[in-house]
Amino acid sequence: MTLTEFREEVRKLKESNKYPELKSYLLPALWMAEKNFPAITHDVMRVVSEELSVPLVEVEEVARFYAMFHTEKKGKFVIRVCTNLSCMLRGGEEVLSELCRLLNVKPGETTPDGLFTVEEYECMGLCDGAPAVTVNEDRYTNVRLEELPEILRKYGWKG
Amino acid sequence: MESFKVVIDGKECEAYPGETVLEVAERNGITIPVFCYHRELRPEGACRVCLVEVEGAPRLVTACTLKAMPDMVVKTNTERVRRARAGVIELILNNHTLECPICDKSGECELQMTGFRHGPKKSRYKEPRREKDIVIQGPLIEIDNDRCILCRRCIRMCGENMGNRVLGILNRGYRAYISPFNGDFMESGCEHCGSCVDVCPVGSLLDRAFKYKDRPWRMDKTWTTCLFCGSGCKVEIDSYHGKVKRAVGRIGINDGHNRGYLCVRGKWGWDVIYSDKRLKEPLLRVDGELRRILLEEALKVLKEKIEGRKINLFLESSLTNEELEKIAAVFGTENATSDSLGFYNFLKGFEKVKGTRETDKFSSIYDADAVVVIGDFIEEINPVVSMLLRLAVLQKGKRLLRVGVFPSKKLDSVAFSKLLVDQTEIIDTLKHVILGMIDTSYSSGNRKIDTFIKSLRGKKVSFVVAGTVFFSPEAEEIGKTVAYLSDRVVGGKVVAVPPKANSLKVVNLFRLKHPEELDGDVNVVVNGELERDFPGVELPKAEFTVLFTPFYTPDVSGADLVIPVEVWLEKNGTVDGVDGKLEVKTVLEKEFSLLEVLSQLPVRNTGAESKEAEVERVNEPGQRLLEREKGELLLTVLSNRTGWNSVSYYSKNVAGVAGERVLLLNPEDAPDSEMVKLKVGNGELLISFRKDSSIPKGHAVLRVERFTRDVSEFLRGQFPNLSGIRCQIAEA
Repeated sequence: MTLTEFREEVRKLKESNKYPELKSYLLPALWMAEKNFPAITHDVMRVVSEELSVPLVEVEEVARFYAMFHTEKKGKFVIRVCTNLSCMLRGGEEVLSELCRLLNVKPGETTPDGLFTVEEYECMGLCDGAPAVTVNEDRYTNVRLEELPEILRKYGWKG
Repeated sequence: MESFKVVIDGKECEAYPGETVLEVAERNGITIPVFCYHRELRPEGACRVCLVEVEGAPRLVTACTLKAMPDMVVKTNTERVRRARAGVIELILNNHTLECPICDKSGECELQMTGFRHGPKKSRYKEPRREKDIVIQGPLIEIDNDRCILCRRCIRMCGENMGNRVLGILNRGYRAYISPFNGDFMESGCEHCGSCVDVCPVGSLLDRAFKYKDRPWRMDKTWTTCLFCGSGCKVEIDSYHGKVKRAVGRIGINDGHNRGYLCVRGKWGWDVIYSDKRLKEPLLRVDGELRRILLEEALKVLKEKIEGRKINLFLESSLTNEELEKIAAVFGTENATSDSLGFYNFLKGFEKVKGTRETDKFSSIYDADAVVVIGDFIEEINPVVSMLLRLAVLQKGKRLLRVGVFPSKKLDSVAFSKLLVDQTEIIDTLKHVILGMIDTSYSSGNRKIDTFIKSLRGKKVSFVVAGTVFFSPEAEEIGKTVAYLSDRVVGGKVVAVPPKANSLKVVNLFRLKHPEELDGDVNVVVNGELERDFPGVELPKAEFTVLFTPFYTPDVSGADLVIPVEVWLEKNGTVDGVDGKLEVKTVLEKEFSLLEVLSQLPVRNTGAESKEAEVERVNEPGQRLLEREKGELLLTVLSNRTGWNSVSYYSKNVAGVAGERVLLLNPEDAPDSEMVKLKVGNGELLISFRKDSSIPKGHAVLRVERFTRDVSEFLRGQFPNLSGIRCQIAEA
């Protein structure tokens, strides 16, 4: 998606008239950017700010606050591993270190081919299926270590 | 309002509905330590240093957000409170860098003070200190995030009070830090008013011009009045050994009408006195060349040349009352012109209807329920006045109504109602309002005007006239109309915010003429710069031209005698400002003094002081004068906030944040080319432009940082108008 296309999309979003105030379109607009760009760059924020008449810094504040928005370049698939209490007790941390070993990255890093970003994550509300992993918007619950390569291969892992 | 009793620390205190416990305590001399609370800001309750014990409440409560209730019993100094407070301060101090010895804030730091008084004696914290190590440097402001305690004072000041929202908190939790967008103050639209620096309780937001320059406790602190514009802000000038180090407003402590708010000129323009363009010695033209001479010689020549001669006086209106009175005595009051001519015209119109030229003090707007603001670009010409108008709405709940041409970022967001009309229709619109105030059943046929009138009915109304009104060809007519309107509303106070610091005294003391009507033999220019103060005016042919100026101005090359004078920071005296008599004080020593030079000149005996000619009274509002033919635009030439009074030209600090020179056009009026040719009468100007949809159709705004020769020549014959100038644009 180019910035011009993105601007058009934001305009369409505005025309949907879902909210009484322009500022309320901020999160949907940023979510659109998150899905369509490798990162929410300052250029993207400028477009959002111009279209929604929200001060520049407020856009940056929101984009930097929420963990699901990436202001740094991310991989095509973001693997989020929960290490909060339930998941940790059932081996979430081991899942994370195994993933990192397989992909040869540290938590928070992206693989050199730009395919995967591994993130240590806070609770995703999947405690019933701890330990939980999500890849973009796909959920994997009760993950066992030996399942991991299989999951990765689904997304094009060559290892 | 009914008051009630609150018991704080055993003392019975009187409280009013809506007040917080902290405010009641403060008024009664009971100190409760605070960080995030600031009396000019909305309470936040973030830092929790102001915890107090309330009888009946299970937990400690923050005094800054707790509304006082009848028969409330509050204790601010029990063991429980002291321990909680010390604990909070301990947590804040854990990650605060220990660099007080090199911190500029040290000595006036609120954390330092509160830490000493209420903090724990030692820390139990064993972890390593958090290091954010993020320093953001703007042109004038620096943010050192290691010192920040995240009280959000700067963000509330910037976003709510100033309506600017430059600063924000990026990241979250442990890693949160204060920054403008992308770390760039200029792109974020920072106005560099310095209020964030002023309210910062620690040394996180710093004044870069002051960084590592001096210590707060050893400087001479002088309260004076800033003379860079008509707002007349009270400001503290700190100097050490006769050298100015900084200017501070002290928001919340300052008792001037500006309450400590400053703008970029007042906060950072002080270094005009150290400008490399300062004039150091008198100059005399000998055989066509300017030569340095001694002051005594200069005085001798001056005496000789002006004796018995009629003088063409060109006055710039930032002089003190004392200087102006002396000028009047020495040079006469009859044959004078000034950059306040437009303001004079406005007051003349006002006087014709009201019978008096007296306008009201700025503080009188606080007595009214509704404030009608007439004029545009107040935030550029008198930034602090527009700030105070904004705060009158936010803090005092006044109803702000705007009549103008251009949208205003600062005022429109808080305005109750606004009438933005074509510049040719300003007077007609005001007349509709007049009719609406007289006749309750009046309908103007325009719904916007009708709702505007409705929101004024039965309210105590004050008028604030400021900004470009005084530079409009209709100044006098607007004066009449406003005067007429003010007689027809309840209250009806009128505040005319002068464009320059002492415009009021100038118009009251001198009988101002248009420069073309001057018929003297010797030109005397005091403190002025022709291109800036009299754009489009050429000095009349005269035998001799004397220039009193603090700087090497472009006019020096055309003068016969140049005498250096001081700038306002080196002056003692008074000015007639927007809020009565304001004091100008200094502890600096000066080399040259206008007052001293003038006192050595003979007092002119022009016979009995000719009284101001009686003005003929009229009892009707003004007439619309502005017309526009097809294809014409109404041009407003506007000096940028930084460039007003040439501050950015002489001040190195302000030059770093100076604005641009650009023509703003409505997209529909704009041609396809990149540059346009502007035509006014015989003048032409080639300039780049920007499409700006906030500029109404049929209008154009030429923003300049400095009135250079080409702009001045372009405006030939327009003085004193800078607004409502009929112009044409053509592709270039």
